[in-house]
Amino acid sequence: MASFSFLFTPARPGTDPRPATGRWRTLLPPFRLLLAHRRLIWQLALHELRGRYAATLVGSLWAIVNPLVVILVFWFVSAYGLKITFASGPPFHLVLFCGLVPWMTFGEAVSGGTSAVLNHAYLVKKIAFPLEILPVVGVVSAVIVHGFLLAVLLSILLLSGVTITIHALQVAYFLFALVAFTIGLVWASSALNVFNRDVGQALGAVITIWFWMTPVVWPAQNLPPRLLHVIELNPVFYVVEGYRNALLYGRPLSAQWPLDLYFWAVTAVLLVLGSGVFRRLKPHFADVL
Amino acid sequence: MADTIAVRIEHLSKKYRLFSSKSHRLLEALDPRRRTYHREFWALRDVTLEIPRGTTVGILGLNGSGKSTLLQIISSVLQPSAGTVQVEGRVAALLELGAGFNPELTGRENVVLNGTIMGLPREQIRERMDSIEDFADVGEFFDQPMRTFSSGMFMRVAFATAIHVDPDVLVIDEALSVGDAKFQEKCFRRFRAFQEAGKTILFVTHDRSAVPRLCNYGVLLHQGQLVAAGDPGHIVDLYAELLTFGELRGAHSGRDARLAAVEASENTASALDSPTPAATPRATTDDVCAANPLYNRYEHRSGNRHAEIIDFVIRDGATVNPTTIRTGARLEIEMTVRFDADVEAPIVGLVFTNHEGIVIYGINTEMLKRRILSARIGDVRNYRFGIRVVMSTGNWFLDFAVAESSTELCDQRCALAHLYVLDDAAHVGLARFEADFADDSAG
Repeated sequence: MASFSFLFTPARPGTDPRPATGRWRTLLPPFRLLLAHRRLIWQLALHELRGRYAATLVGSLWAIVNPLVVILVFWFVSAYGLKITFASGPPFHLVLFCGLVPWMTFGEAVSGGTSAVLNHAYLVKKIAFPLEILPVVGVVSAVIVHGFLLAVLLSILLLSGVTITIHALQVAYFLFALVAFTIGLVWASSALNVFNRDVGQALGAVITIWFWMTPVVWPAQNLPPRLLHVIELNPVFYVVEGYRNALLYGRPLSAQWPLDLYFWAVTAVLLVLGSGVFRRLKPHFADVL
Repeated sequence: MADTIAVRIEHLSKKYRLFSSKSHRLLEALDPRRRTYHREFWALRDVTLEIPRGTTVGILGLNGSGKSTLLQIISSVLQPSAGTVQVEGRVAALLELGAGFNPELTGRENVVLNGTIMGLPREQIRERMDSIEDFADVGEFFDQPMRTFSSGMFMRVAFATAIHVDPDVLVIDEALSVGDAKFQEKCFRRFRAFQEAGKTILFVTHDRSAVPRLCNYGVLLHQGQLVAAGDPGHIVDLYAELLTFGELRGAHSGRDARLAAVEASENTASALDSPTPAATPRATTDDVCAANPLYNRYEHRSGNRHAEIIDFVIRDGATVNPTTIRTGARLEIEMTVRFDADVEAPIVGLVFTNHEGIVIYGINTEMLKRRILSARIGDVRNYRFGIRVVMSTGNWFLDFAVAESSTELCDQRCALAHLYVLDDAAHVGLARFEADFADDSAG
């Protein structure tokens, strides 16, 4: 009866036979935790979505309605206000939609993940809880909403006569890439945010600047090649372009392998840093909250 | 041999780091050169303890003695600074009301959440839901958000969940005290079932009567150190000593806990400052009641002060001013009265009350039909009552009075002494009537 839980029980100090020293020993556990607690992460993410809209009439529907409204507004502005059109290729509003959907998920995941430890204070004090999973809960609830948005996006693409190719499956890879990058980011930001709420606010401002610096609502084609290479260093742009290639252009997974390598290098560094910051600050959470 | 130990604590120490500000805390946590920005506070020092499986352990100690820290380390909420803790099996902990429960979710949803945190598979949570709902017994509130719960209801749901996740070790930090008596009784019954199932319970309490009643092992912490462990009745006595004096009068530190504890109790009587015996002449005629360890500084005093009660002594056999009195003990209660006026045929008396002021017993020399010799101004006299204690476990107060007549009080000192009585026998009520029983049909 007691043995089945062994896998789910976090390693206890003193019973852990592995030596505590060595850098790799401290890098792996957070990922193992995520895997071990996947059911808990899922449950908390659902609670979070439901909790956020608990007092509303249509409830979780707002999680979908709000981003759809944003998409519609940007589409209206770019198509009628700014009259952005291309001579060739798919219409700009489809390019816009394909970029906005992953971007909004990114924004949502960062803000949700950053405030996750604060929002789950009841799991921080006087209870043995794998705190590393909390920022991930914020990311996962954004991914759940992303599922619905993706379905809407696919419907729009199909109705607009875009042929969905086998390359659309690449979306899974780019979503995974986005999640990995975001988790690294929010591990650091959520932990710092516990100490100083300014972190969350400042990050909001950074995200806004980041949004306009990323070619989401404006086309990247017009940029001079040298500037484009700088813009390409933005990891979120890698994901946004990946979505467009997969869904709209039907292009195979990026042939520009240096860019893939670059993205994963940045993400790896961020994950190592983020989990390190989180691990170091974690013991103080209960005292600061 | 090893598998009969449920919790093994070796040389456990816990240092708290005190920071003067949040930013110092952040600086130290992230400083790449690991500079320090804190002051140290040792909440636990070198605690070594083995708890066999199936034991119910009561942990006693003054505020700040490290009880909660110990429980938090055992339940992996805190990491030890030094030493190790090994726990066999799954731990369920009730450390603070509300910990692990989302006030926005309903009772039922929180049970599922907590079951998942404890690693229980979904089907098992579903199977046990009825039983949990039944045990918590909060009626329709079970499907309401927990922020609408009273603290008692909160605790019921938390406790019901904790015992249904099949813990091998159950850790409770004073959480039970918010439950009403009926629910506490239900929990205690569950404790026994746990004990019989070979599970281990550790709990912190300030209810001294609960320790000998529920536990088969007691642990006493003082200033972060384990000062005694063993027989719960004995641990309660030592705790009472700590409560009264703020320290243990025996010399224990750094020695074997059990041995030290036994010695401490043997030394209790002799180690005490011996109050003035009745026979020896008094060095002073001032009021020295406040020097008695049983003195209650919240006493209430009245009277015309033609005579004053200036000292009292309570003896239980060889023990002077005992911190714990066993029900059934025969006490000798002595009071010293200084007469500041001539008093014709004074009357002296005693009243025992409980914390609510309910009089359980009162007696005076007039009721005893004992006439006291008249006193002259300046006389200092000792009077002695012999009384058998019949009160049950609890805190009791003793009033002393001296009067000129049945209507004119000279000095009445209500709740002058604070007594703690411990009853070893099982029964209910304020007093112990020595009951026996016969069944004539049994032949």
